[in-house]
Amino acid sequence: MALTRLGPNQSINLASNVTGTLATGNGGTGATSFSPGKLLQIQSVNFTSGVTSVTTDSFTATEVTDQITPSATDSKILVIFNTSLSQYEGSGSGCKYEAGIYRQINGGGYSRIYAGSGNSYGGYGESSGNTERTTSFPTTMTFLDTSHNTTNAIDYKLYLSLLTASGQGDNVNTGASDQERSVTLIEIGA
Amino acid sequence: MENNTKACIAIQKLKEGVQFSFTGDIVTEADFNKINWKTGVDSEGASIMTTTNPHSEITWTAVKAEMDKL
Repeated sequence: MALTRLGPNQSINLASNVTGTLATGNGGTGATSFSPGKLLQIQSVNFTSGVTSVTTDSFTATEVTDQITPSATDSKILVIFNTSLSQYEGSGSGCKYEAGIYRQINGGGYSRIYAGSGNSYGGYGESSGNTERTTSFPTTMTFLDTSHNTTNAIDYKLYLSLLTASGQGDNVNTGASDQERSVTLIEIGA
Repeated sequence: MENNTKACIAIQKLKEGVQFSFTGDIVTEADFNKINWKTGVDSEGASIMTTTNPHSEITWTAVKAEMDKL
């Protein structure tokens, strides 16, 4: 390898004059090129008070939401909602609910991105029924958003609905007794 | 029984089948006035809500009275 001694006012152009590998034994990586990581940013929020109660038979917004501003249009956003959804039923044939993830880009209004109607629900039904009951189940919803195509702010929000097709219950809540809820948004590079 | 469930039961006793949502507890008239009432469904299948109570029979006084019975 040719070596050049630099004078007191000379510099090295790192873009064109430096090549080779610094061995790991000398504190280097042993690699001839650098590939940046794919994890671009993480946004998260916890909620510890003020659960939302819903009695509707169509998807209704809750307080469980978070916002992220992607650094690239072709990145992916991993969306994770953690809740412990609870329900009350005074009588009838069980407690069932639907849950959906809605997305809003740049304040333009929410639309559902996960899941298809009837594809994301929880709870239970009873054949005997007609007794008062409450339920509370840990509920995690995870979705990989590959279609945002924006560097504007994106809001993701949890929507809930009673499942009226069977054993809907009287209300569904984002948690019982203000149980902790969280949203985590992870931007992953293309 | 949780306060939010009491509020749901009380409102539905006053008018069966009424659909609404709220965040936090219903303890005062100010809380009651923040309830979102369903008025329809949009093209995305989401509820259209308003804080203007369209149900004249559901008042804070009546709801409070029902909640106190529970």
